[in-house]
Amino acid sequence: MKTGAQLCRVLLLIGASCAGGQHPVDLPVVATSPDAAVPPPAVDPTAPIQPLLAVAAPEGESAAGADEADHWKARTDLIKAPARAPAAAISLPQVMRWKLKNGLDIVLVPRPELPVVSLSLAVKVGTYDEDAGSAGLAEFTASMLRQGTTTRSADDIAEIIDYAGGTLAGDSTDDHSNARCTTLSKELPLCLDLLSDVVVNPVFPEDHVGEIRDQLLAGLKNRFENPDALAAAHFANLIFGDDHPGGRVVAPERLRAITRDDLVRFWKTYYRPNNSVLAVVGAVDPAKVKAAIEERFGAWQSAPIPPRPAFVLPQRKGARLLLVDRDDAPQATVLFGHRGIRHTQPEWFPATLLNYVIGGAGAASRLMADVRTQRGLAYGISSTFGASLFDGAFEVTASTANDKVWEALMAAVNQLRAMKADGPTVEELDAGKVFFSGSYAFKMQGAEEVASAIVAAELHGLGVAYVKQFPVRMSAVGVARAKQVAQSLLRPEELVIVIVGRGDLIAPQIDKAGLKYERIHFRDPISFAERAARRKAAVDASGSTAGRDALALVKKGIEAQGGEQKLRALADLTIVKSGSREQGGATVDLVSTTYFKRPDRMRVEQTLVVPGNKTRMVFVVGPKAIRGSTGNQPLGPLPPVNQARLKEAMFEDINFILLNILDARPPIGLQPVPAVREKGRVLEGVLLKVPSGEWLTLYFDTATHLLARMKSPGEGGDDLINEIDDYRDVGGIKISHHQSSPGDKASEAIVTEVKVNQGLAPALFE
Amino acid sequence: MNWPVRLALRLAVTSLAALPAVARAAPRQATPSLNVKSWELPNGLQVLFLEDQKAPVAAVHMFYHVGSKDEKVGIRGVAHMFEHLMSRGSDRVPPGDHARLLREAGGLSNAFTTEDVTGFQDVVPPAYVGLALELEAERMRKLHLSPAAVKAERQVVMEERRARVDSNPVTRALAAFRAAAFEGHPYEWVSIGTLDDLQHLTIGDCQRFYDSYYLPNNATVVVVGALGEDDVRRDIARFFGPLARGVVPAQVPPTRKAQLRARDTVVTASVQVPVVVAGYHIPAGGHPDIVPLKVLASVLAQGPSSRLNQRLVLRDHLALGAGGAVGAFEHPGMLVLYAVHPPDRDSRKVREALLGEVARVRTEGLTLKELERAKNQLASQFIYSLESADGLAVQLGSARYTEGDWHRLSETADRLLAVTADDIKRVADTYLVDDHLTVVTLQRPIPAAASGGNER
Repeated sequence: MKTGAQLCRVLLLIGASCAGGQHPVDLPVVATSPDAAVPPPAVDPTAPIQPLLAVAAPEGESAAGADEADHWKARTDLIKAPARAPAAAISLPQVMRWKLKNGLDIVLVPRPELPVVSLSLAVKVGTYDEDAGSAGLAEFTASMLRQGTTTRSADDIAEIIDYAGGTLAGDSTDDHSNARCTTLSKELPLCLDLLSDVVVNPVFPEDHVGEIRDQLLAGLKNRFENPDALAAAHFANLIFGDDHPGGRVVAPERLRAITRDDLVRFWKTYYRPNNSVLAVVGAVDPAKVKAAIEERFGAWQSAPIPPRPAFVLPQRKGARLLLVDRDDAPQATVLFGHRGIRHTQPEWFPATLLNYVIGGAGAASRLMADVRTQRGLAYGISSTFGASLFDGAFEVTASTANDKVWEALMAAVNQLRAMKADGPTVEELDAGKVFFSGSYAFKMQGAEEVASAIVAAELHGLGVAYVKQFPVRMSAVGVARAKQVAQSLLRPEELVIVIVGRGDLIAPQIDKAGLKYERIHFRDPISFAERAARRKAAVDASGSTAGRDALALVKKGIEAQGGEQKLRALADLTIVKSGSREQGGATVDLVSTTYFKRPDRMRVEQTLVVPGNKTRMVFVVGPKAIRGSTGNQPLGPLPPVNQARLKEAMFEDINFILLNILDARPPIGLQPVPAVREKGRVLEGVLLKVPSGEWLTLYFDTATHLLARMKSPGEGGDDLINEIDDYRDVGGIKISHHQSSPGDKASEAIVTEVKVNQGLAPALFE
Repeated sequence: MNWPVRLALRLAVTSLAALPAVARAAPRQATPSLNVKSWELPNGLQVLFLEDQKAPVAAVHMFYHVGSKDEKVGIRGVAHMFEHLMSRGSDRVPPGDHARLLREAGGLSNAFTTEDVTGFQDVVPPAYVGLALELEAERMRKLHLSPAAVKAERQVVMEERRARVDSNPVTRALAAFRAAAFEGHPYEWVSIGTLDDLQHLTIGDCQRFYDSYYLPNNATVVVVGALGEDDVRRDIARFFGPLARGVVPAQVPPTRKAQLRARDTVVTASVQVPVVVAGYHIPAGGHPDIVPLKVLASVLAQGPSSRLNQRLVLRDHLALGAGGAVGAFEHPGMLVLYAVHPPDRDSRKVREALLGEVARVRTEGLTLKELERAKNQLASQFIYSLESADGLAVQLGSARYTEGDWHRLSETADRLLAVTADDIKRVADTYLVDDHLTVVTLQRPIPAAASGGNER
């Protein structure tokens, strides 16, 4: 309900309220994002972890007590829905279609009622046309369309469409790329001009290539911060595999390698009239629009289109379980399912109804009724069968408390088993049919919605009849057919299950069930194959040449620091630092003193300063306890998550990390990574998995062999880079006096004082 | 259904074929007529009906002429509570069944509350319009209020208040702004109410409120869709006809305190970012000056090219975000502007820059391009909103209650396109003046309670 949401935004802005919680407050995101705000900085080790979601009373649940419910018990006069009307076809005005000489297919739906027109031009190219060498190009190309043409700059385009009060957008899916323009119908000529220009004459300006690349990279990065997106990426990779467009992972390095020439070549290859469909919906004069389309698109040159690359869906047997560990996850996200069907398959209608009954009907679905309302195991749970031109997936998603994951998962799987065995009831199926045949028309009110429904049907080879007949075909599904489809399509015995949440709470639940699973850190690579290769390399490290080479780099690094003997002789070390970091457009100043007492004690005293606020914090890490305090309070226990963070910080301290790697038990597997050449220096790298589970890359300057850079977590795109330089000699040991991190959370620190072996009092660490 | 076509013709006159370099003012056109049928039942219920055959959809929207302005201190938030209580069961509809029955008919339902009106929105396939009307008639007079339901919903609403208002610096600042700008006036509080009043709401308060305002003679039912007038007349008479008229408390138009100069208030609260809100008193929603004020607010405060965003966010890096809107109410409302800024920027500078942009509009006016862009955008958005039955019903209802007359709906695009630079100058000089101004600065306490992070 577009209008409802719009109204709601206006209401919220002026301080009124709207129903439901389904309307996000559309005020500046920056204002509410704790990330952009200043302070508290990212981790407050003393704060309790708050659950993100409060459980609201489920829809339909009685807030009244048992006595109250009696009011409606055994009543025969309650209001009931009237007898169901037979489903009717959607009436669209007569649909006109023709083809230009260059092969462009046109579909025109005149809708004279309102002076609005929507154009949708779909090019039949999407991620399924990519292979490993062209991965990422479909989305990148579509995102570039608005960024400039032979006669209009990106600013011109934005200005023209904004001035007219219209919208112009470009995006891409698995099977097509799309440019859309919606305006008042008086602006149809302008809309046609812009749409044809961005599709036929884009120039992919170099500076905008960089801008769009940054946006796409930010998208990849955000995936690791969003549990739903992360679970979906892992799920797709496990279902489809690396060699299939459905599961292929586009790496940040790949996006960075894409050049303007690649985009131009991709556009030239696929953006052709004989590979495209144009839908025009709205209040237009058919004769005039026909001439206008010929004028704008007639000169567009056709060309042969390469066939879609072949790919096979990996056949899997048995269940597969991946636990993605995020130790600060306030709740768990579960995504499970198996391969699905194509939109064009005859089973699609019964499967969609089946899905409605399982988990597509909100509070009325079986999954919600059982797992949430009855058992209270989930905050929300739903399922989908999708509508892809290619083999899609059947997916169930749920958010649960970390300690209830397994119970919720089992309850949901049992629902699938029951559905597979018995199918839906007649009543359930009827409710679904009525819902679809009634509500489908709701989506067919705006010109833009009609245009995209028609384009989707055209591209999937279903035709306009599909749009018209949708309600009728849905209501023709019988209960026997639904049952048969449930039996053939549901595969509760071959589930791929991805759980993103707290490993410490979730692993014991799976162990108890006695299942095999893979447990990974949430920043680990999404590609299953890449993880397997890393594991293999790490296992081989001790024996292999590669492993020995990597170990040699670490040892050379220690030598450069002053040598193993000198480092081990260091009984204590005190480092005073002064620095700052950017956060949400403001600067946080930071002064810290860190005391190390080797091998296993550390004390950090730090003061954070923002205008009008100064906070002092102390942390002490000892072999038995890790404690902390804020302000002038005495030291107290910390939440387990924050204890873990401090332990990691101690292990990864730049002065001792190399020695710690050498001493780690069990030994840490090491593997070399390709050298980086930059700014007249060469950096040799080592990849390793630190005890916290994160992947870390250490780079050594080949001129000095000193540790020059630390990169975490190893998965690019979200790299946290720490540059380490200005090494100075302190008592025969080289100690870095300057560290910095680039990026939107840039930070910098200077070492102002270093003291070694001054016999620090044990009391300091108690 | 010929009105939209005439609207199209009228709009066609202002077509812009080429680049927007040359902007033209729109000549006034004849007003198209919406073929809306309106009638009144003997019990006072107002009906608006618009046949719209575009799609097999019907919207049934109930508007009750009651909102937070009808509350008083002690029961602030009770009007919005009904948004929730109305789904908690009535005599012949168990709790939750309103939504369930509609969903099983292929429909959806929703609700909203403003200062002036409470709306309940159902959308159904046309065959089920009778069901939606029956359900709405049922809960208009036969709501089953129980202490348990009131208690439970009180908790839900308090949670909503915490989540929507208290944890969002902007909404929180807007609430503080209201309190300052409308002191002693029922627009003083936002419709979700206050935690203090909400937790003390009793079933007696709710019952009294329900019996005072949920009456046929205090409501309008708007029906839009692929329906015949005769059927709609019959169904409405059948379901709403038997309901008895009641006595609606007299509504005295509230008056606001006279003001001689700008009001300036600083509020301290534990928010992540400080906010500056500046607002000007403007006339009631039905006043002709509201339209140019909307155009002005759009140029000043809406979208990336707005003056506030260009100046405060992009040029001066003073703010993280800036925006604003016209709060057009039944009684005189406000034009509100705000800026959210990092704690290390001086609130006074943010305030100065924000008011500086208002002053610039008064001295320099708008460029012709800005004016035409804003008019085109507002007129287009309005037309897009009429594409759905739901949108038409919302617009009819708000024209009826906010502007005081639903007939004005058909003039909306006309009036937007007719705004001139002189109109903008006049309304800016009349309303964007110091004795209409209230400024609220929401600041973090200094020094703040301890918080921070480790250095990793």
